[in-house]
Amino acid sequence: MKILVSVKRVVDYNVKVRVKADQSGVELTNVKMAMNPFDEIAVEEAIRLKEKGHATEVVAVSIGTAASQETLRSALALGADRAILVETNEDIQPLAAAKILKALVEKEHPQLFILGKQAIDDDCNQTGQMLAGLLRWPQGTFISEVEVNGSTLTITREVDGGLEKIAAPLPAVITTDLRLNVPRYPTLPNIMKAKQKPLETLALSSLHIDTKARHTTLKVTEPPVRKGGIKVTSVDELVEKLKTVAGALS
Amino acid sequence: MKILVVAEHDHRSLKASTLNTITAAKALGTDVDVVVLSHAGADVSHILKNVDGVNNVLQMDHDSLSHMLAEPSAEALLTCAKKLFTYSFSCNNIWQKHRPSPCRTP
Repeated sequence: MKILVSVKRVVDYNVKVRVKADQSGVELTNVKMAMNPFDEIAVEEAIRLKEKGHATEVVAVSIGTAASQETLRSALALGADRAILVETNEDIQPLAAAKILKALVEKEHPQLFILGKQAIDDDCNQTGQMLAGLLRWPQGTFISEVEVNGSTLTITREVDGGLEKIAAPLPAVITTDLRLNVPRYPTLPNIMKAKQKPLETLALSSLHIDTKARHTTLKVTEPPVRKGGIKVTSVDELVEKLKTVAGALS
Repeated sequence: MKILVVAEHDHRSLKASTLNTITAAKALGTDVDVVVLSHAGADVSHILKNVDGVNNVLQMDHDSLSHMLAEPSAEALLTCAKKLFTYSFSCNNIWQKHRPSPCRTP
């Protein structure tokens, strides 16, 4: 079984993001970038499936600028066998991303596609679902456990009311939640080996996909700053403040 | 603008998030319908009939909808949306999490 895993290059989760002065987006210059944490979990799960003998090959794929090669190299350092980058400087929205990934599926014919449930930059949580819809494959989203039994997957999903267990035939699309696994740290020899692994680059234009943006971002703003509290000296004053300032009592 | 809200329920009672979604839909347009996906005739639509701002309650009933899985629900909603609506809304609850969002008609 061949597994495809998608990885996205995003602002590192440790970075405190700042909004651009013109409110058109988030400041990305001189900011540390890293692999989306949910995608890291997806790569780890694919490698674990390979180690258990269920998978024969793990291919990491990404969509983005040439800088995304670095992110793919870190997926290779974790243990992916090879990588494909669909290179573009455009802003790719979830539907376009799903279409591109579908084109890669048609090229690579994997049995399983693992994605992070969402990217931490736009928090869309749509690409996996859309990819499954476009491919007409079954989907297992928000998974915290996955088991391969022959040609069937047994998936445990994290939903609001608790856990949901579903079975799905392969080929399938699954998206990872945080509790699925804890990704390993790449070892130095593996980081060195990753430099030799094959990384194929495709130009987005060569795939002939309509990647037109379906929505536009009007503006991005910082959340309102939380105001500090005040100390009151008596119950009367507290009631007074609650009435006039907080509006809690009327 | 016609708006379709997808009711979230457990075949017995309606989830409160459906009401939030209806209120959000009302803020965008007056023509709000709600669709209930059910199986074996489970009926939560009577609750919705009394909700302020709902024009029609549609019910789609099929055995494949019993577990509220993404694939059959998407299929059902797609049929529904193509026929009648310009936009659809769903609660960001367990449902939207595993449903593709194909319900915007071309």
